[in-house]
Amino acid sequence: MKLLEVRNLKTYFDTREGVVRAVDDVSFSLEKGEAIGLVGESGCGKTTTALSVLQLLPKEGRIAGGEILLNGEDFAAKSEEELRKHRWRDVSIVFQGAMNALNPVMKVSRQIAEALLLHEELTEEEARRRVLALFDLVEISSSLVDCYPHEFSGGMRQRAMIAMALACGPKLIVGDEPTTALDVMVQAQILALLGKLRREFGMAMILITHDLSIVGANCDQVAVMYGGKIAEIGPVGKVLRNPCHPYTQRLLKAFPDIRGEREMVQSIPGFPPNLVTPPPGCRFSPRCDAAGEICFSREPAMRCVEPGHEAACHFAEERSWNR
Amino acid sequence: MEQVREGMTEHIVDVRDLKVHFEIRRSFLDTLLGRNKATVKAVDGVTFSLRRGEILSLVGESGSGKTTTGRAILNLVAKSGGEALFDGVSVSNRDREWNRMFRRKAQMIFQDPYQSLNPKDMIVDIVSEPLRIDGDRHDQEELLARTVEALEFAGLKPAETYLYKYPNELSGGQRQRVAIAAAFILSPDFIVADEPVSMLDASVRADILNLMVKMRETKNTSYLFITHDLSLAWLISDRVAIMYLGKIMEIGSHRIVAGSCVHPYSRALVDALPTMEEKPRDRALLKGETPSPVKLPPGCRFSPRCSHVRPQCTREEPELRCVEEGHWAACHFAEEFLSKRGAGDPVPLQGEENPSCAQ
Repeated sequence: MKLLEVRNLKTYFDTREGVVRAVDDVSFSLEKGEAIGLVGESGCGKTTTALSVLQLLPKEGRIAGGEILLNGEDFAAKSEEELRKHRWRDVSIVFQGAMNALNPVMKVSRQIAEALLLHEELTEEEARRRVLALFDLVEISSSLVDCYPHEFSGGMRQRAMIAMALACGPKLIVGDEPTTALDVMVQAQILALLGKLRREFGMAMILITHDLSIVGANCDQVAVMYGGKIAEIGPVGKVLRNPCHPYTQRLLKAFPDIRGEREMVQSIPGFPPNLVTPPPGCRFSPRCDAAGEICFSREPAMRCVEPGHEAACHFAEERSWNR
Repeated sequence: MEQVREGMTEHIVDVRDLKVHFEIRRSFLDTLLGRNKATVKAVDGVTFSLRRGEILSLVGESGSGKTTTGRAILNLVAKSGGEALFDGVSVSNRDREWNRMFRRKAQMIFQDPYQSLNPKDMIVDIVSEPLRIDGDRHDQEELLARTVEALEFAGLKPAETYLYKYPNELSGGQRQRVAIAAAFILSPDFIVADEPVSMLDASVRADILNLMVKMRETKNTSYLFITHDLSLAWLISDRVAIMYLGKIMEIGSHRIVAGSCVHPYSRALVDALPTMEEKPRDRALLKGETPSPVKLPPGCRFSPRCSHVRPQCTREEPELRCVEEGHWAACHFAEEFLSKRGAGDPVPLQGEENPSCAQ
């Protein structure tokens, strides 16, 4: 059994302008200990997908269809009461702006202990010991146990957030741009830490990022999202080396590859689609330079280009190397 | 401006031993107990120069002093020592006419397009403001024509649809274009771009970078590009300077960030860079974080975190010195690391565009 299975997930937002189809028919799955990267530009639905998995959508948002199976149980059908038991014990999340996610007037260790006490039957003393072990795990010096968030650096706070997310030993951790606001060196340290924890505890991870280069070294699978849909999904090496969706190809050209040729990056002309009234046919068609007639009228289905590697493009096979 | 052109120096910007120190405000108790004042040495002796039409990147982690260096060159923050010359003249001189010229010729682009534009001004006012206050008289028609030209240059076409909008009606990428149009409208010779693309999506980022390069190609603009992103520095600059705790650790061709660096700190930064490679190499990440610039370690400021540290490093501070043509490093053992720079490292430095040991 897969650890997580997301099937045909649809998450809509009800706004004054109309219904925004932020996530529209997204499917993917994760094995135990596996990491998937969700990449794409702002507004492509990557964060909404992750928030749907945790059922942490803002009040305008609703899951309009599909299933989220965690260990075979449908998460989308659970009541808030039941969900609360699963959150943090089974799934937890590390948000982007860690500096703002901690309570400034409460000691960091206390905040982690609270998460523990809420979910497990522990005495204060046991909780404190667990917190110290967690600090050790995420490589925060134990001398910082009684410090407040402002005494921590940005990197330290992000480590503390990871410690909190790990407190109840979740099977799945979601990292929503966990290193975006951090320096190169700290980013590398945090990603290395997440990788180590993943290997040690067999924890699965959903890593949300707009930086393709992070995905390469830190994930097993990658899903490239565009306009609320998955444009391309597959093992990282296959997708990055043999991208078959025109969007993935263009996105790769927008990133400099320091190990390759020094070519100027290229932008993708046009704008991401309006998700209230998405364009007919393929959502990328108005910006695609290889679009044929069919692209403007019929929505492409996922096509398999090589084992485990799928792309939602009518011409996916023709774009693959190994056709 | 013809007089200035006549005496044109080879370098548009010359920074010599620039220092910017900030005093930390002391608490009443500290004063009472007569404790020493603490100073943050944000920039602590930085020397480099920028040729006309050159793009030099300053890279480093937060707190390395890269932004303060950029601001000091534009005289936006007071220097504590050293000198910054623009066209051979100190930027802190008080000549009114010269300053007027300087403000026209040197511009800055900021990181956050959500904060750098006045929300109460329409785009047309934001972009034409430099023209209106630069002293020369422009009639309304000319102002408008040049604003339209600048907006279209910055890729906001047709400009008429943007003129009478407010910043909140634009996306982040469009706002950064407005900021760029406002910086470009006076055809500056020199631009300090402080993380101009770090808040933008990849595709928009590519557009803005191309725009900056186009500006260099058509108008020979020089840039000081401040970034924490090594791959962007490598991509668009001629030379790169790597800063750590207020000092330049290494400066040389853009290739130093692609692996031809010799300083252990540069090496650590380059190794920390995420790559698209599937299986990452085993890399030794630096432990801990940058120490506080209030209490600098003795000797080399990188020594407490350096994996190659030797006794000399904690005693003597290394000077920035030439290790090969156009390549300088502040490490006692730079030559040794240079000779060890093995076959595994990409591209040795050769065929430099502007070879010279003079920085």
